[in-house]
Amino acid sequence: MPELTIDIEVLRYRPETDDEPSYQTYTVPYQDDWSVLDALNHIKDHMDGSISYRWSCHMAVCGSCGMMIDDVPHLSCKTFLRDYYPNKVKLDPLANFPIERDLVVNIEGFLEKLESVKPYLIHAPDDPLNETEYLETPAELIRFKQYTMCINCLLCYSACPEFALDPDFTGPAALTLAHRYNVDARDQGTAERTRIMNTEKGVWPCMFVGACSEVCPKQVDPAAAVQQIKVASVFDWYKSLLPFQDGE
Amino acid sequence: MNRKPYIRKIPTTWWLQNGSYRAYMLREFSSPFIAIYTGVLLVGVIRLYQGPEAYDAWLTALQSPLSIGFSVIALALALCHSLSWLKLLPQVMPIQFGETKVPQAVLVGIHYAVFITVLIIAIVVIKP
Amino acid sequence: MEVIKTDIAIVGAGGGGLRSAIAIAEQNPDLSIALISKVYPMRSHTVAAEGGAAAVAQEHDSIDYHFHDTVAGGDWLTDQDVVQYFVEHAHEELVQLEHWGCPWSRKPDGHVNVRAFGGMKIERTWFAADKTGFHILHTLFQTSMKYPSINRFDEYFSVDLMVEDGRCQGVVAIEVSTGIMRLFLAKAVIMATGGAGRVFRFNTNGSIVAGDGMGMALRAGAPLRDMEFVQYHPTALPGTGILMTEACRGEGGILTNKEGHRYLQDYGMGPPDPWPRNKAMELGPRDRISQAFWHERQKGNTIKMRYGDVVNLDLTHLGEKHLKERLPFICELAEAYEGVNPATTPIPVRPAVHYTMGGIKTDITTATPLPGLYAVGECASIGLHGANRLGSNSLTEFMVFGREAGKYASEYARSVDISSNQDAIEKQADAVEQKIMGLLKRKDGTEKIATIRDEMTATMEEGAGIYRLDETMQQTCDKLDELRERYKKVQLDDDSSVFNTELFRTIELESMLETARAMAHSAINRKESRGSHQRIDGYETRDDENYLKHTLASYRGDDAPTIEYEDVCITTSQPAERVYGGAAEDDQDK
Repeated sequence: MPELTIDIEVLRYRPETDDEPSYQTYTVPYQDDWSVLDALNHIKDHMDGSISYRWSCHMAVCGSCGMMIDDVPHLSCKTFLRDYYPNKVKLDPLANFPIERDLVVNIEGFLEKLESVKPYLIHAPDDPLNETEYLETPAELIRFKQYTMCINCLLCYSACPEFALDPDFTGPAALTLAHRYNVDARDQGTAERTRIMNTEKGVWPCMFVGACSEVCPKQVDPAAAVQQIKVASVFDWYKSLLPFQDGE
Repeated sequence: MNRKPYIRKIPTTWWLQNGSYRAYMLREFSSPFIAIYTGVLLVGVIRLYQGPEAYDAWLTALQSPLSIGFSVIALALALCHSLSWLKLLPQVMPIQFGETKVPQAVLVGIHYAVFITVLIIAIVVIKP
Repeated sequence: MEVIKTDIAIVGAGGGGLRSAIAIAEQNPDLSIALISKVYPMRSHTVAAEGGAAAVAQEHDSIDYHFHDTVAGGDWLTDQDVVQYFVEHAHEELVQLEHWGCPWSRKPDGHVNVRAFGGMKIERTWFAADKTGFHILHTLFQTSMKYPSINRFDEYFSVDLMVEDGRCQGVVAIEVSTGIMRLFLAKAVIMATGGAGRVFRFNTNGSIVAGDGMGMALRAGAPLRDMEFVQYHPTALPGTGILMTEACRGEGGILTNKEGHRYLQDYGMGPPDPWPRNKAMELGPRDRISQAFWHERQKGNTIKMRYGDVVNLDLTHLGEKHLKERLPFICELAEAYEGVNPATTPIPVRPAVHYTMGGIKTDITTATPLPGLYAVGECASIGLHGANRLGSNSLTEFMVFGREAGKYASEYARSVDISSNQDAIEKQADAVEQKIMGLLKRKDGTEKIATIRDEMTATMEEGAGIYRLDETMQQTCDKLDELRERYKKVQLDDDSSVFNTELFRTIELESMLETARAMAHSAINRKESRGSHQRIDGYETRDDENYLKHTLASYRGDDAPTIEYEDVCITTSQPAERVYGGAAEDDQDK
């Protein structure tokens, strides 16, 4: 029986020699349990060592291997050839990011955005740390747990038309992680973060297309988090109009 | 510097690329129609204030084919807009009882029930 | 070459690197930190740890129990002063993580919940569902963003350590996105580069777990210790090696052979009931359970599948609701990669290499024998795990000793100046650059890295697997020598300087070969069976008289590594028989 094969069409871009990207097709053995990443590794090991892409864990948790597979953002380690066979599979680097080389994109901007929203627990300065753990009921945990599940794979940014049109938009994952801390009962930094997010590059460019939540491989639902920040921001704004403010 | 990041162009037809983009654009597209229809209703209130004659003239104007056509389109788009919002609502306002999050389908279902009840009341009870 | 001066350079930004960085930033905010990582920190392999982190948390538990479990679990090759320090500080470090926001799973009263784990007498494994490493890593990474003195160099591939005046003074690294090499001139360097599981064919590790830090330390003159002790995790998916956490068994999962028989009762871990029961059956230690699999395969009791023999990890009796709450990631992975719903069907599993107990030798302060060089986490051998690591001790390890590394590296950095002999170091760095350019520019190479790598992983599996024989170990040593020679003729397809991943795989391969050599030579020289090092060629028993010692492997270039031994620190626990199952309970009654 002849060996079954499948075509993988990969967008190649070598900045030192290419002015613009172009597709290159590789014909690889077809195995029904191979992920797209397995096919790429086969190409790199046995056909063309010069192809570049990021990967590490091969178990959908490190978030490295996101790419456009037939124009939809996916983790390549958890997307299987069998779902495309016998058709070819088209691979592009994650949409909306600058292409560094081949399937590798520049995600530096995301790291800056994440840092800008203060993604850590903020304790009020006059609040001494507990000796032992803070109590937190399962009900309180469930309120924010879903938003801690983001693996920073950035598929959501690739799906987001707002980010496509405005690369400075803080974007789904960073906003979701900010919200994760806001909703955490142990955190006292909501006011600080709201100031940052209640801006023209914060939550407001989001038009609630919802595509981010559709492509999220971890069902984090970033669209929900962003809308909830908006609601909180609105309440916050109304509160600021009240004549008597509590605290300072 | 040997680095030369390549930035892909966004096609002007980006919004046709997938279902959620198209649904979003339809929702945006519906907004002016709903705004105009709201304006028309507002004019009706002003005409009512101006007296029976003015109000009758407004009613007559509404019966013109152009106006009926517009109303039908506005109604369809308003339905689209409302239904898409009902679908998104549980994401905006999740409800949690103890350790259980109310499933999104249940929240949407409740909103539909309320929506339909109000509609029936509007049609049956407030009938002129 | 561009020089970046920093007080402390940290190589690796997984759990150990981040914990060290935060410790320095908190205690010594005036010290500058260069946190250098070949991947973005959140991609580090800490992310894949599933089951949990150990620290005494219950009234009826005690640090003495944790101490004894760890020492016995490590077959008495642990340094007991290190274990003592570890168990005493485990709890405060996990609480520290809680204060930084780690979403630990909770009990209804709001306290952190704990679960059972293999080889642990009392439940003391803190967990965040079955993604504990993921949550710890992201918590540490996000928290690290608070500190302005932590300067991250993400996607900088470290190549070699710089040693001058008898001390480690920095590291050269390549910026992945440009191929530009930079010299980090530092007063102290902390290695936190993780393990080397990828030198084996069947492993649970990510592609980045390539032993580069171990190779760098070796070449810089720091010895690797106890490298023969490689942990096979008993439950990984057969094709991909994806880990099915020990928590599956901690929650009550069982292992059965093709007859449906809970075969662990035949290997000194029974009786099977009542179940679950700590330190018995499926909650035995990993070395014993992996070894039992090997015997079952010899007896023909395993199930043949596409990727070899498997046994069944049966969770079906735990119920869908419990699985979705406690093991959601396992459900997701089994479904996606094996097409199995664990609530209704047992998961096929086999042992796969999971963890390197050995690593860069350090003392209890995380200092290596090379002044100025510190090491923490899986890349280090501080003496905590001995001949077999207990599940859930490693996450706590990098927390406890990451803080120590930060503390002692800071002290050291304050005691020395940036080298006055910068020229000599720059010369060393230039030599490294020449070596790399040589690899890139070579046109007459004949070897492919994938071929060498595949032959290496196959020979390691053959000669340094669950059970070892002198003859096959010797073949492995010889094969590694051959591969090392062939590596010198490696030819790259890619001569680009931008994101040349083939180049980085090639540099990693060099370190992998050195690390593999240290493992194979350490193994063949240890003529006894202890923990994960099991021989079936006349050395089937433990030999405390001759081998209650750490193995030290040192680099000698083309020649085989030198193997030496050093004493194990024993304080209160004299070597005894390791007992699990019914025997452990009898032992306890006495």
